[in-house]
Amino acid sequence: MTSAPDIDADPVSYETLIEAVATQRSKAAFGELFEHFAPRLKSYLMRLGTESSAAEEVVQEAMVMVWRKAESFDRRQASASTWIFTIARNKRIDRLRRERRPELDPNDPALVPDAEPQADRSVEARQSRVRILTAIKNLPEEQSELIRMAYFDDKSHAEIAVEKDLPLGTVKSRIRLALGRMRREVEDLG
Amino acid sequence: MADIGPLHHPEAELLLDYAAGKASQAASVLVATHLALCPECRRQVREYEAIGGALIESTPPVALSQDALSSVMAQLDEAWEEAPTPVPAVDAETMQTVPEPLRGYLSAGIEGLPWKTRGLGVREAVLDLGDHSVRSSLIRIAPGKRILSHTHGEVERTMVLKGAYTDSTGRYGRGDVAVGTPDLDHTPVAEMGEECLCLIVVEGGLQFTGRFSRLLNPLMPR
Repeated sequence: MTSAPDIDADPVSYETLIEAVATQRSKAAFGELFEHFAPRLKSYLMRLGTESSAAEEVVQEAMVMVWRKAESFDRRQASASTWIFTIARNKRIDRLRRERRPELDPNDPALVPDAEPQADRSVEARQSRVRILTAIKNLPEEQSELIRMAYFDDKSHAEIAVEKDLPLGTVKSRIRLALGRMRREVEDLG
Repeated sequence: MADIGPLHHPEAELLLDYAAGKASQAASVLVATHLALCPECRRQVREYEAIGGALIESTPPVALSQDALSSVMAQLDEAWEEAPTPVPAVDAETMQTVPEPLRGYLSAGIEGLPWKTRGLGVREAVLDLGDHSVRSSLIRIAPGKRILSHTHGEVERTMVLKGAYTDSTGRYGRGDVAVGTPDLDHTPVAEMGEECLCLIVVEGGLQFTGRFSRLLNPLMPR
């Protein structure tokens, strides 16, 4: 199901393209990002039940945000695909709820800071993306399918259980097992 | 593992739903406010978001309409300023006790909420977290006082913002999240010394089971 990631064969990574948008306002770099991510975001939104033209509007709004917020991208915190995923996710929610997705405020004086500054994490998020993809590929089919449904289907765990004709406890435990395995993959790096 | 931060966390499935953008608005407020106090769960949510990013990467693309790129390109040179998030000016106590994003829903501060008595030493103020399928409220329990024994229609999540309480499942202090499922019948007791302030988000109603339950249940809208 999962095709091997081809990014690493590219001389220029998507992270570098976002940085080119941030520092040089490069429309050529933006065009490449659009070409790669926009059709994938549309696919993601349509799987979540957004019909084609509405999905396309959300994709366009999300990609405009990629242009506008490129300066806030930090490759130590997130890969290009993770950062763009969160932008599209939030745009979809904002549209559904007419309210902003509740998120923490990193500058809130009441926030309890990380024990170690994130800047000290030496492994780039991009490498962990490849590891996660491999980990998903190596999951037993029954687990990888549930993980995909957890992100891509607009269904609660209870609804997924009904659809798969499984007890809710089994759905939850398989998702937990899968998350645990993937977590180990990511942690092995750090 | 972080050595600071809360000891009791939201369930992994809820953090996953939050990262995937599927949690309800009220549950998302609770999770995000917990994240402000919990570096460990922040890290976990980042990992779940990274899984979402990797899945996007492995999704078969769906073609956009022909003019999609040119239509986006045309918007790039438009002037744009991020709308500043409105910061309600609240009192120092609210500022210190309630992190964002929950604080954004308390423009009148903790004391300015419509508090109603819910028993001896217990007060409740119903919140509007923009999600009417879910009952959300702040509860304050005076030192040493208890919430009457109750069970839950579906699932009740409690996050402590100030003070601490204890029930048969353990002790809960600032930032801790307790998850009550339908089979849990519990009687939270606030610790002596300080009032306990909690955010409670109930999906599917709440049933009191004690002697005075008939008096109280009509107060709790479903």
